[in-house]
Amino acid sequence: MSKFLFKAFLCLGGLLFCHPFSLVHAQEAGMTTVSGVVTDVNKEPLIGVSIAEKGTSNGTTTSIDGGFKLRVSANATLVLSYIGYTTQEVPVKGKSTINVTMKEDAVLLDEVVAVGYAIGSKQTISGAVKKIDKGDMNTGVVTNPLSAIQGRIAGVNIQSASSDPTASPSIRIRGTTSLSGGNDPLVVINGVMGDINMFNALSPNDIESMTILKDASETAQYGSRGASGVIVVTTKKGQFGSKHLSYDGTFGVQTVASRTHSLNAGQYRSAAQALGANFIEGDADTDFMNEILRTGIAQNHLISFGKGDEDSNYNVSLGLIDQKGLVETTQKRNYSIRMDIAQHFFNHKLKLEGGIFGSKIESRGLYDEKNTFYGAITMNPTYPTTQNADGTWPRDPNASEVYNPLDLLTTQKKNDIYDISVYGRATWAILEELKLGAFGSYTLYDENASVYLPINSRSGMQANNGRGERSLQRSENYSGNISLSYVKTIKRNYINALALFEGSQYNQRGFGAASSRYSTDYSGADNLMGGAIINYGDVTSYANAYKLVSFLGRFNYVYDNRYIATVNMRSDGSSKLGKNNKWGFFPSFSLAWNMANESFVKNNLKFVNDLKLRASYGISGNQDVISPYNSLQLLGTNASSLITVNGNPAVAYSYLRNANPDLRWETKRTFDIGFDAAFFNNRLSMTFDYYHSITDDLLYNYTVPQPPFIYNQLLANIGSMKNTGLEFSVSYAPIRNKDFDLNISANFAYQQNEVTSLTGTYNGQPLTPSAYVKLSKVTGAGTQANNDVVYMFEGQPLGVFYIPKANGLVNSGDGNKYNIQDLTGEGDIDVNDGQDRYIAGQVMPKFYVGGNIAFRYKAFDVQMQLNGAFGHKIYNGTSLTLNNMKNFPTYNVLEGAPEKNIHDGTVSDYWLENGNYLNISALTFGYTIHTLKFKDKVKTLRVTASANNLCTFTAYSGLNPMINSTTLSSDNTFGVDDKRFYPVARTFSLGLSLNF
Amino acid sequence: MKKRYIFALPLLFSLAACSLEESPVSMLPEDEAFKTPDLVYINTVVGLYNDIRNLASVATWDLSEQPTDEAMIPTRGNDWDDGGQFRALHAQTWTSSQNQFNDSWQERYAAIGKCNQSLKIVNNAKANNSTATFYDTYIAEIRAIRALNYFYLLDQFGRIPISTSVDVAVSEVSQSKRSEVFHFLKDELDSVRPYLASARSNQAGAYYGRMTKSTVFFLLAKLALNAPVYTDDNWKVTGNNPQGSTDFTIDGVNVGAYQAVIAYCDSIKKEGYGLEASFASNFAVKNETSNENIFVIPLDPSLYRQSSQILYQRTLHYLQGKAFGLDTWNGACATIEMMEAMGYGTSAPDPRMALSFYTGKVKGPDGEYVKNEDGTLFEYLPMDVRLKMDTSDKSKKTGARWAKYEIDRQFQGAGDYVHNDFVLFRYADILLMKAEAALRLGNESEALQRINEVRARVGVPDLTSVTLNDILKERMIELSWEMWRRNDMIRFGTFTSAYTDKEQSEPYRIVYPIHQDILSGNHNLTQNPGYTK
Repeated sequence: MSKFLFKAFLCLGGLLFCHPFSLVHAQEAGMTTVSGVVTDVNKEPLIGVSIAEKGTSNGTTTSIDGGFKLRVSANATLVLSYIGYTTQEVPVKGKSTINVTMKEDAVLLDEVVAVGYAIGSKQTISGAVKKIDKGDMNTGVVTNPLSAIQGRIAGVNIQSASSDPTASPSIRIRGTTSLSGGNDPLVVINGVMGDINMFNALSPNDIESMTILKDASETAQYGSRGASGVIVVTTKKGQFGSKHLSYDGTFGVQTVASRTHSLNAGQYRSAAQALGANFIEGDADTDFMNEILRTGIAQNHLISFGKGDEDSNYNVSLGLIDQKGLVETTQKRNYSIRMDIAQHFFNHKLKLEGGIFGSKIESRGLYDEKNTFYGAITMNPTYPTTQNADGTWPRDPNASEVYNPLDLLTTQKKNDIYDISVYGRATWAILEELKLGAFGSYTLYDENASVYLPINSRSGMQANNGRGERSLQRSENYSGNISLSYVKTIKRNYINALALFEGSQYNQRGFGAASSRYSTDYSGADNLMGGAIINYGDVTSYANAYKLVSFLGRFNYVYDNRYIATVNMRSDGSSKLGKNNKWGFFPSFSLAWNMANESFVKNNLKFVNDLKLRASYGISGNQDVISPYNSLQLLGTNASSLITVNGNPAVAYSYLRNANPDLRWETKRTFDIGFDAAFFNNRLSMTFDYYHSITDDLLYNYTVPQPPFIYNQLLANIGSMKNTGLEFSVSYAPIRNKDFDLNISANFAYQQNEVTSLTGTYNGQPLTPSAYVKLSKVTGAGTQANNDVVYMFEGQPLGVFYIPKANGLVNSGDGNKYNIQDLTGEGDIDVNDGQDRYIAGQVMPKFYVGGNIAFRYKAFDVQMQLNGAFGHKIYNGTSLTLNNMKNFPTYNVLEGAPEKNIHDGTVSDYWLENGNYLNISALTFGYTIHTLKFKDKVKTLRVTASANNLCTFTAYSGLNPMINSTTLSSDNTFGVDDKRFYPVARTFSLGLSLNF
Repeated sequence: MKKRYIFALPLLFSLAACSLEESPVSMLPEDEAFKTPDLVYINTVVGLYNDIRNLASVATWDLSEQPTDEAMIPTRGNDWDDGGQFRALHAQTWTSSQNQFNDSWQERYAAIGKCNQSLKIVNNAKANNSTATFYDTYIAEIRAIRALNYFYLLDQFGRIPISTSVDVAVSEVSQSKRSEVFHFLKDELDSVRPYLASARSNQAGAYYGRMTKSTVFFLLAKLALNAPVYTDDNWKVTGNNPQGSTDFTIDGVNVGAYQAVIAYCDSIKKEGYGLEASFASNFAVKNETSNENIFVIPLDPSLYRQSSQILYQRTLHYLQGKAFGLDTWNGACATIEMMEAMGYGTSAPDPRMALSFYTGKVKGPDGEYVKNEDGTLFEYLPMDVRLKMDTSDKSKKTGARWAKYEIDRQFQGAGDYVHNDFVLFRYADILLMKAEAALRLGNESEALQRINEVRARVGVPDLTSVTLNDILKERMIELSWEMWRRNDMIRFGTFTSAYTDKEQSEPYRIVYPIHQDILSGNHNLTQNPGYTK
């Protein structure tokens, strides 16, 4: 943790504890003025220490140099309190100068960590858990909670593959452990379980802390949903002892850091003439990529206020995040409100809590991202930027795959997303150590989408001259649990036990409607009756539901603050699974040895502040990929269910997929061993983990043989996967004094993945899926057959490049070709599977690095965040397609392509590139002005100037090495950089943070 | 995993377990889907026709036409290069990794799987209501649809698994010999025929697009005519000279294959079919009144939605397409051999050339000639086509384009949703099959009458004598691109011979290979003879 920010945070905390109105009171007899300096044991001044006259509301806080001055009665006692330090009482006894040394409080420093349903602390947790506080989150314009922790935690990989404001980052905790999309971690916000969508709606400034549960020791608490890790989020709460009003805001300007360039009109003409090729002369000089770009704007504002005392607290936050993307029309705006209230009753026997969160996200995306950018590059640059006389957009009729990007920008795609989440909790202390809890929550996710393709747009013409589409998708979740917890310290024994029963009901419903052939674009998709044609399949609706029922038992035992043991046992029942597989059991065990509390360490190794060895083993599951009713043999409808019976239209229901009555959980067994350590007054701290996990019964849509299967895809539990990794994070503060702080932290993760088996059984029969499981390919305009690039094989990491080998280029007389090698030695070149192809590298990085350097001089500070990934490759499909001169000049090419003179579009390792990169993701300068200058009006004021995505060091020749290297997806982005070149943004921003 | 039960209270468990049953609402459980005989009919029988609509899509057409001397999709620069797959099809140098082999197999076996599923349900319904006789007609119709799918699989892949039930393990699925598949198919058609309606399948009405007696007769005629091909299991050696049996039984009597063809052709004639006065009317936008079409895939952008690029989208040049508001792909075109057969460039080309292909300047919907971007008249160059060409403007215009189907001005989508029904079986084919069978039996006068009947309709002078080669040529001209050329060339032993841009190929290529993905999914399956990869 950055020491400076830690201090700033403490300072803020201290301020909130003070009593601002106490300075105003009349002169009285027997009064005296005391002043002094408060320091820590290292004689460093402490800022913001709360100083109160005991028994009164009179008090103050220390200033930036640790000094204070307070008028008190001569026989008063001063109470000095400061977060993380032991509260001291100092009698005044008529003295006018009192200097106080505050001592760190071991117990208080042992901060509370929310671990799922339970609460623990460093002294009681035995699993691999990482808490990250607000002060440790990323700076600059952070528009997304995931971006706030990117690069901060070893083993947590977050990737923003695009600067498109409507795209969200992806996250993998300890790599990819499943073949399915259900690889996102579970997110628990104030106890409400949700998914990444719910998380993304949250304003990052509204988050107080996040706890990442990495190993099975604690993820097993979430049983069938914990296999991909769990993020426990705590939002801002009303703070004890004061009311507060704060504003956090950033305003940034986005510029193009890098973009692709094609030949300009002059280069295009001369290259065409050099080839003696005809082209259509449009008499203009247009950089179509530039035409669709603009300067982006990103701003983020959050106002929050609240109050807290012994009995109650509340907090309200209002947020606005507004992003205008670098590409015309792309935009996203997120309005949010959050309210949380807690109130105690009956002598603190009963605590009632409740909260509501609402967000509306308006997003305006590109209707056809790939063709927008492909068109911007390949469009004949001599064409003008204007429309034809008939309202259509110019394009070369021979270039059938080119869409004029300006034409595509006239298509409208809007998504309005409403997130609502409500929760309530009651905790009844039956005895001091025995509590009964009841929790209920409701979440709603509503996505209201609309698309309109104008009459004169090419996509509109292809869809019956104008098409409007609307849809609404609604997901609701009702969850509730009842728990009984018992926490007791008996002499040297600490016991924390929990029993919990939980149920969740999920409902998903939606409908869609569309019409086409419009006579005017005026109303767009807001009047679907403007379209004359409504075909079967244009109007749809659906509803489905599933349930989860769970039992959890947790037992956490600490002996003498030295030995910790935790056992979790969860049993989950899910309606989505096969009849005989509905229930799963997910246990975990973990042990830890808190060596720092051993007397031989305490006595002999005084520099050791913390040293804990941990080991855990547990089982968690994954079921997200299974949609409801997948295990049932059902008949449904699709766009081709319309038939005629006796000349009248009718609908035939049919089997739409192979049912799998055998569906069961995917289970992941994880072993983890590690240590946490802190030395030299906590100046040096480190955490190390080794883990090994095996995922069995992998859920995947396997290719199965026809016959006997009706379809060639079956969602089945087949195969297994192994993940091994090392994680190391270290933080060092070489300088820590009144004027200077320097803190350097870094984290490293090594991940090794192997698909150990792809065979299994189905209905008791051995089943071997296809030998060549294809994961990604180069697709779309300008590509060829045999264009598969990324595959999955037994014995290899998930996602390997299996492609032909090219030994450079060879001049064929007809331009240069890729010199593809005859790997089979059969004397011919055959680039089909099983022929002249080889495994040329892996998609997923082997190493991840995150680094942070924070430096403070007095009130000025500077901070830099780095992220990097190494050991993987990227297939540069963009270069493959756009350097191919075979269709030039009908299709324009990248700058430099005429010189390369490649007339070949065959996939080979020629465009397989090293994907290593190191990215400076943020550089922030800050200045903090403290309370005394504004007295009662403002407690703190902080201004910052940041640059995000400052620069990237990479050998990758494409636009951006930060592509999707982790998420298996059906859109062919996994490991392949293929013409989705939303330009990379660099953001410069100013930030203001005010606390009243 | 019994251990899991020890944890929680058994009572709570049993309570919770009850509630984990699923009750889907927007999809039907089987007991709802087949509740009444009407629902059984719609959801088991009629719905199956949706699974054969893809016969009007690209995979079947590609395998039936591209490897022949009448059609090709040439490469023009990078356009239609696609890794050389279309060149490999035409030049007959394919390997088992061609997509089309997988696509066609999957399309047909998906339909067969659904037929088997339907049979299981109807048989159950029948068992529960043994007095109802209509179930037998349901069963017959389902088996007829299944037979149609098997016909294409037999023709393309020869050695295929005969799958008649969905309740079979992968390990029990293995291939039958081509001759066994042939006999299975013939038996199926024989046993369902009596139950099928004597009705017009190509015309609007209760039997529109459905399997009827005539469609089964047509398939039986094709089986009989090709019996020497289909019953030859040694094609690796004899591929270009089929050595199979000409035995063929009708009602238990071995009448011989060619006599059987004649009998089936006569049966279809008795059903009332005849040649349309106008050749073009069979392919008109509203061709559902044709008296000649026997079996069609009904197409209609609203009622029978099937994207079909074959009719015009995949063949027309961009500029011709643009004139009609279609987004066309400039792909498939006629070979030089096709043009020569039509008499292109001669003083009297066959009238069917203009009815079947665009060979020069073309007119737009306004009656004006389509123009190039520079204002000159656009023109196709039929004789300049080669399998592999450069990216020039000229090569994009080479090759004649298919003109049989009238361009639908009421199309939807980019031009792939149209009203012209896609013709699979046609009476002109029946006449030519009868002529061929007669000639093979030595009855030249019958053959002459039938072939001249076809020629007279378009005003071509009668032949005075006829050879098998004349019949093959007549079939090429009359039935161009109607998905019979490969079948014809194999039967006449010309499939493997050389022509423009295609060298002599190996005899084993008369049967397609099984796609490698299909082989790797079921280790019981073996590759067809001759193919090494």
